[in-house]
Order: sequence, then structure tokens, then C-alpha cells
Amino acid sequence: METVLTDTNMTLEELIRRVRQSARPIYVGTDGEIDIVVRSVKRTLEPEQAAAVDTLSNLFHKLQVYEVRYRMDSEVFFYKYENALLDESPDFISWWISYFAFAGALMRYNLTRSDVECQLMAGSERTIGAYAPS
Amino acid sequence: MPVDGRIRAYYWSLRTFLEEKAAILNPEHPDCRFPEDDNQVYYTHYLEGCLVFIDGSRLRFELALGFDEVYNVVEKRYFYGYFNPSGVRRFQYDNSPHHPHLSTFPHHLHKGPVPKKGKDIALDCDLTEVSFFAVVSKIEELLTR
Repeated sequence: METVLTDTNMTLEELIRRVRQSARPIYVGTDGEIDIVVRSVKRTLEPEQAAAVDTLSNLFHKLQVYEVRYRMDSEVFFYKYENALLDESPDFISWWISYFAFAGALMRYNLTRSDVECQLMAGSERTIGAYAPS
Repeated sequence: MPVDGRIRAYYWSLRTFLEEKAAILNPEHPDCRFPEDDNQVYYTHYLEGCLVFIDGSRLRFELALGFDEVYNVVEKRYFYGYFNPSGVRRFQYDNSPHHPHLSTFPHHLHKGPVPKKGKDIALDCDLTEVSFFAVVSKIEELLTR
């Protein structure tokens, strides 16, 4: 027997069917619709990515100066400094802090980028996720 | 508030704090540097600059920010060097993990000029918590004493 939801006249079974359908990725038949989504996401993210790359570049150049000056990779330096194998000089403190920040920023940037790329890839496969109209 | 929003908020709390300390600062000095906007700190969690005080002394600082377990912004790695107008160090706070014998490890303090020879002696940290706010307040105390 069907249970009718009084305020909408929709049956419970119909509601469940709609909820299930809306939570399922759906196939988008036309190129136009999904292209608009992809373009819109890209347009929003491009300035963000450019700003992130700019600020990361500044830190990267700073690390490069130290790497050339002391003929050591930043990663190797960081390991040595964290283990107190190098002196506590002003350059080394600055290099240590800069590398810590750079490594963290790069990790966050790559995580965000891979999230976005997954979304865009999903878009290019002509599927979109939840909240699609039934 | 989103986690990353806290980094921007932190930057602006520093800016506001410095506005309140205008009486001891000389922001027009050419050596004075503080990021003009919050983009760099937002994307890299890195903040670096130099404050020049009314007597010509300087505070050079460099910070790598992060979050504690409840997502408050904390200074994960830091350096604060305070120098007299001639560039001679008066004190320095940093948290390089080089002095495990100290009770406040890794937080510590160096006092006086950087020695030309020998070790730069590290002392227990005399601040409850080292932060931009605490260090600038300490300098304010020295200047207004």
C-alpha cells in the first residue's frame, strides 16, 4: 500500500526514488551544458592558481639562492637542520623556515589541484554528481 | 570560518595590532617591510618582514604558520631578531630544535650581540608564548620604560 505524504501529494516511494536518483551521477547528453560547467570552474580557479603559483615562486627563488650558496638541496638541508647537524646561523634559520612553508604550500597546492582535476575529469566524462535535477 | 580564512584573519589581526602600536613604529622608514596584502600569507602560510621603531631599532621576523589541533593559527617555525639602530642584536627568539637541554625546548632566547667566535648561547624562553604580539609588546615595554 502506498504511503501518501499529505502536504505534497507525493508518495513515500516516489520521494525515495527521487532522492536516490538525485544522489546518482547522471549522464549529460549535450556537450554544451557540461562545457559551461567546466569553463566556469576554470575561470574561477585560474586567478586563484596564478596567485598561488606567484607566491610559491617567490619562496622557491629564495630557496634556490640558498641552495646555490651552500651547494645543498633544501630537502637535505632541512633534514640536517631539524636534527641539529648544522649551526643556527641567520641564513640557516631563514632557509629552514622558508623550506617548511614552501613544502607545506606545495603540498596544499597539489592537493587542491588534484581535487579540481578530478572534478574536471569527471566533467569530461559527461557525468555530474549529486543535486542533479530529477 | 573555513580553515584558510583563519590565515587571512590572522594577517589582518597583525595589521590591526600594528595600527594600535603606531606610536612606537616608524612605518615610513625605507627598511620597514610588511606584506601589503594577505595573498602571500594565505597561499604560503609564510610571513616575513622588518619593523622599524621610533628609536631606529629593528625587528626582523620570519614565520611559517600552521594550525593547532583545534585549527587556531600558530607559528610553527619562527624567528624574531631585535637589533639596535647600528644593527647589533639585542635579542632573538626562535624555535630551531638545537637546544634540547632547555626546559622551554624548542623555544629559546639569545641575548646580546651574535658572537664572532664560539657558540651563540641559548637561554630558556622568558615569554609564556612566543608570538608576533608578545615580541612587539616586549619591545614596546623596552621603548617606553
